[in-house]
Amino acid sequence: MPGGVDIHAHIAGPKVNSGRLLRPEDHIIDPLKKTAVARSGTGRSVPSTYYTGYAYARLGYTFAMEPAMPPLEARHTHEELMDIPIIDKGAYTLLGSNWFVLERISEMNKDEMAAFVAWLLKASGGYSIKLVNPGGEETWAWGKNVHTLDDLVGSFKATPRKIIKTLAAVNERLSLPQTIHLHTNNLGIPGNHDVTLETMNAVKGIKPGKGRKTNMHLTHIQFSSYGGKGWNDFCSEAPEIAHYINKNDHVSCDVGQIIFTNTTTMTADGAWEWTLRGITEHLAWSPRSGSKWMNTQVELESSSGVVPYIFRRKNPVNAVQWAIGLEFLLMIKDLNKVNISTDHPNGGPFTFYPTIFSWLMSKEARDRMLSRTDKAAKEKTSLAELTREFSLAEIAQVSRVSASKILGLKNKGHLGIGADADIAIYDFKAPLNELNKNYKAVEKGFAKAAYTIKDGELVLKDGEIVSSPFGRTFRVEANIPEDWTLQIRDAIEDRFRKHYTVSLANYAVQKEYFPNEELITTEPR
Amino acid sequence: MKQFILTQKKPVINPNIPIEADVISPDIFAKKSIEEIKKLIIWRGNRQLALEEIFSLSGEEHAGDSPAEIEILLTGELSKYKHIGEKMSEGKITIKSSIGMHLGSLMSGGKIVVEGDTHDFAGANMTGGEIHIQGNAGHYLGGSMRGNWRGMSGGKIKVDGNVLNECGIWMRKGIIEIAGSATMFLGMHLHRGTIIVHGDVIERAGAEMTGGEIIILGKLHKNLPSFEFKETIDELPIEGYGTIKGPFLVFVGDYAERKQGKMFLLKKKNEHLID
Ligand SMILES: [Zn+2]
Repeated sequence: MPGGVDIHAHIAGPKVNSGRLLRPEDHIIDPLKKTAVARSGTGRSVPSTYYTGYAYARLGYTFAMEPAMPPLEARHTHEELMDIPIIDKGAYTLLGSNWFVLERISEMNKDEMAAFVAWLLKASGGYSIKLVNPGGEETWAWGKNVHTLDDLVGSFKATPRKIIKTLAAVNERLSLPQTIHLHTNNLGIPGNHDVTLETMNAVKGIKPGKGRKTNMHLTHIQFSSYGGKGWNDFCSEAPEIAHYINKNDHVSCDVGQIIFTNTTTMTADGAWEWTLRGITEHLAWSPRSGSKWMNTQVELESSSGVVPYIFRRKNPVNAVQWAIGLEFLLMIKDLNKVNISTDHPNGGPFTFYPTIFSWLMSKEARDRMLSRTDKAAKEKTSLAELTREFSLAEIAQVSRVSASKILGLKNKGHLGIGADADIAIYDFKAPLNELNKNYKAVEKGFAKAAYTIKDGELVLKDGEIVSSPFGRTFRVEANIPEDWTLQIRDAIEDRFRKHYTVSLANYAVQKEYFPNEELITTEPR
Repeated sequence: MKQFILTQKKPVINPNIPIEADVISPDIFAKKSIEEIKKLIIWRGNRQLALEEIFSLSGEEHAGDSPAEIEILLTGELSKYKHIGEKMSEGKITIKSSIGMHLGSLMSGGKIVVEGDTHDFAGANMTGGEIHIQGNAGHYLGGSMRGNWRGMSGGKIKVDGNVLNECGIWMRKGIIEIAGSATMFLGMHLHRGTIIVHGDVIERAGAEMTGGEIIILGKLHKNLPSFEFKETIDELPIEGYGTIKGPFLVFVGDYAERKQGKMFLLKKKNEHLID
């Protein structure tokens, strides 16, 4: 198979590092000793940088995207990306609560907005436009949140709807390789499927850029597909949303599958992390006063939070969440529109991907887990009725092919002409046509690739790292006309002089942070 | 019992460099010949050393299959040796001197006897087994690993001397008995389980406890304001221990958390707390 491509995994940057600081008890479980070619590190839910690269290679993955980089923290993010060996990588630039965008959204000059986004992508070394709870990060700075697409964001005239539509349009105008990458409003909250549907509908008319039919990627969609009015009648609305995606071609998604394990949640959605911290007060595994937590605000740009969380089989809500992720993978007809993620480490560490593969390939594996989970997984979702079993080709599709296409990567996700020589070879030690009856072999085979080859170099053999080269950082620059930029230069300078704690000259990430890079340039329309 | 005697050859040259000796455990010795045991790797700072470079070893030719049958005897100046008996499940370790940090942490069974003092985190996150410390213990005795909100969950620790701060922090099950005194934050975050102190305790015992019981037979110098005096009882039966004669003052707390923790303070030493 071509090397695996992870479209959404929190692997670098300040909130990941905060997660590392918050969870020493998690690292101690999984220490990695140094070898002649590999460095030492610690693993589990928030692995150290070197461990991250090795762990991906072990799964036969050769590409991963850090999905939440506040521009102000871009330097830190790239410092860590630089230290992740073997895999190619990149980062999405957070734009959903950027003051410049919020302020100009009502009287927007389209050229100016496009120029600003292009400038910010370049300054932060980003790959895509990322929106996290659009408008909510800014609202959270005032201790509040947005709950509908039309709530006003703080003292601005912006609303989540305007932010999403504007940035989606700008994204397509700049011909960026990926659509906007969106974490919906109300994420994690019962009944949030309404807002998710409305969000998809909101961008329906926006014309996709060259070479693709989509104009929006909904990330970790599992967390945005909940029914019910509260936790008691909490249920899956995955069929409704999967139905929309089947009917319409403008949305792609990754699932954000949850795994029953001890993990660390982290997101730029600081408001949600605070809500989650409150929820942990009622959970048996947590201290009575709730889980430990971190929360922060990134001036003029974003927020973030970190909370440890244990997904439990016997917790009805967790059981439903587990089923929803699988519902999406099994219900979406065109697999080009969906790929696997755990929203690492939010739903569980990426090292559990092989377990997800086994659930997809074997109904028996799913049924076994269903019988061990709370009955809500059966009663409040449609998972038990889904009989589809993936072939190896379909696993390849949702673990590398779709992600590469969604990311607009021409050299990833296939082994044809023009592909990079990123290759994973698995040995299942079982007949390939009986893997659905042999889900343990699936899990084992994918957990430890027989060979992983990165850019033609053998990096892993029989699950052991044999060499540790560095991959490339992928970033995007849009070739915007100079006069677009001229119009906003003064405004940007003014913004920095007045409000930022850093000067403009020190803001942009310089060349040195991309020692190996693959720069994709686009021609705006 | 198959006995292995490890005698330190000479004192460590630079005592500031810690030695990670988690291989000194019956579980690791099992199924190995003495020659293989001599070659086990311990870390001194960033250097690897074979066990035989530091210790002279004597004992049976082969350790046999069962860790339960293995007894390890350690002598030397061992206060920089960490993680001895970590994760052990069976067997016995006897240490003739004082020992460094993380002694018997994560152990699930077997017994460790220390004839001297222990450093911090002895018995941290243990789930079973027994530790007997004949000297004093450091901080976090029977506590939890850094960051872990779930501490010791079984087993028994006995200290003949005194203990320092945060003894039994985040404990969920098991029993800790201290013949001497304790300093601050005894049984902090205690969730379940029992801590008995025969000597005096300085202050802030039971801070943020949400369950379990703390018994102090000496004087608690200062009580937290978030504990409420409930009643006086004559004697106190303790499961798996026996009955202690009182009378006791019963305090409930910590009111800053939930009010399900109980402190039993010997009345004749603690009347200053109910004035
Ligand atoms: Zn995420």
